[in-house]
Amino acid sequence: MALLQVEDLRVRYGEVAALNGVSLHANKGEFVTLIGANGAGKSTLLRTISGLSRGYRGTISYQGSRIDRLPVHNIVSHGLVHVPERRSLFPDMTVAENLKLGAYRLKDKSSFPSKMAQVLDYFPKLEERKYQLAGSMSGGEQQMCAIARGLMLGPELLLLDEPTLGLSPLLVGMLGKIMKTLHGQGLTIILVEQNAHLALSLADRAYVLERGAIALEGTGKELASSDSVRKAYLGL
Amino acid sequence: MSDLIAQLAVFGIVNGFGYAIAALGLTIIFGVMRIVNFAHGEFYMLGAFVAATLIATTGVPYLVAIPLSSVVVGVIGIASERVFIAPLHNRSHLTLLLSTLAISMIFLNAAELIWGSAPRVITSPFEESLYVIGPVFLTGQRVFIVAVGIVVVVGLGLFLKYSTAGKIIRATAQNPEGAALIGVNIGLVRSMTFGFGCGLAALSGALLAPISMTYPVMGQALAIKAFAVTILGGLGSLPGAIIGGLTLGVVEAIAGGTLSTAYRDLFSYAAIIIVLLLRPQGLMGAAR
Ligand SMILES: Nc1ncnc2c1ncn2[C@@H]1O[C@H](COP(=O)(O)OP(=O)(O)OP(=O)(O)O)[C@@H](O)[C@H]1O
Ligand SMILES: [Mg+2]
Repeated sequence: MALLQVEDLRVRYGEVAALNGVSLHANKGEFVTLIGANGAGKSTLLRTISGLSRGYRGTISYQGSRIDRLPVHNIVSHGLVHVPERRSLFPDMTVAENLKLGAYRLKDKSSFPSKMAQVLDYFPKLEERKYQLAGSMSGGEQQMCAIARGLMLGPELLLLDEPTLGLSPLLVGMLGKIMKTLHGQGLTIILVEQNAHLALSLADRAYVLERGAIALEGTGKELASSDSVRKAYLGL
Repeated sequence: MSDLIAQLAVFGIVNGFGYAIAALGLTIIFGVMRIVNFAHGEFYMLGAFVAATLIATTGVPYLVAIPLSSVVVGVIGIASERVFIAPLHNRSHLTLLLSTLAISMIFLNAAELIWGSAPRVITSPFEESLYVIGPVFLTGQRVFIVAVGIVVVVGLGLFLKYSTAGKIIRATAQNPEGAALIGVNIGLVRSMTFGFGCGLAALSGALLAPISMTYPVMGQALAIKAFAVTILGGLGSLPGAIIGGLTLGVVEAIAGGTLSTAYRDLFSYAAIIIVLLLRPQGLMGAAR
């Protein structure tokens, strides 16, 4: 049984259809990536999984039970953590406070110090910036802080929406390594990326989303060698 | 003359603490929910009436009636939010504004039905003592209002800064979606914050009642003042609400005492207009 199973999901914003029947799944421990053009519906898909948006049809099951009608905070407490593309930090709080609040729903409070040490080890930059207000950091630093905050809860499934957006090539490389490490430790990841090279090299399995529907599915290798993907997303 | 001014200024500070407490409630509700609570004056009024009723029917002392009344009105606030605001939370601001206006009218009319429109007096044991500080005379009740005001201001500041619940409230105010994504039940935070803000209005009402009159429409003038204070201080700024409250209290007391009491309430309106014209972000607020 898949950890996450999405069936025939349909979402619209008023009259605008954003998802027209998307089905996908992620198995436990799998690294799934999602690529697609601007406006294809990638963010909408993640937002609907985490409960920020609602579909009008279709189902979302997580760990075998339906979550598509649960409130966001309830979904989070099951270990499904979403790091959205737009800034989600608390700008007038310090980095340390943001990270601490990230562990708000942590069930085993005694693991808090080790979680904190762990994410600061992943993102040493945040250690330096611990007492700086989150809103006063650069876009890239905020991005790292948002991911770090998402990890504080000790997620089972991590939804990442364009985490490399606005990061320097050096940091993109670093983030790639961190995602690989997390995956190696057994975390299930669904990654949305514009950077198709990175996405397909990391992925166990990947989906191409076009105009609100899944156009292609395959292993990272398969998609990287597919003609249409090479033309449309890898610029080859 | 300067003795008179000193006396008036001190009276103004006392009232100002009352306004500041109510305005803090309005501010915290605005900060978290982005709505201006048009029913704030009615929760202030309910604070006074519930305290009066508790004293009359159960015989509890005034000192016990105040916190009890604040809690009761806070719970009424939570219930009002659940019924009249929560179901509309993703509608337009205007819709929410009208809904708080409806709450205001419901409680105003309910109060007239239950308690009648004749003013009544709440007596406080502190009214019997008198303090003389230089040229200034103060009853114990006025000293008590200032003391409670200081405790509320400091307590609220510490609560918001250091307690987990306070941090969750601030987080929700700063980024509701971000708060939901770390697992905060933001619907619950909204209800509790609304109730908490209404409880502060009620506290203000129960505190000021012994030095003014208790009657159903008493909240309307207070609401205008609380709006003026939050605009003076900058919408959403807690320090602004405190400084704004004290400023308005002092200015209106001195102007009322030296010019004419008819001008007293004029200052609230004048403050709103002048600040909106010259410094829309308020005296303390940074532009949002
Ligand atoms: N809040 C909204 N209101 C109305 N339409 C929306 C809203 N959010 C998204 N849309 C529309 O839904 C479609 C899918 O948007 P979405 O943000 O999911 O795309 P995306 O694949 O994440 O794009 P990008 O790569 O640019 O981030 C787009 O046509 C977009 O205009
Ligand atoms: Mg997107």
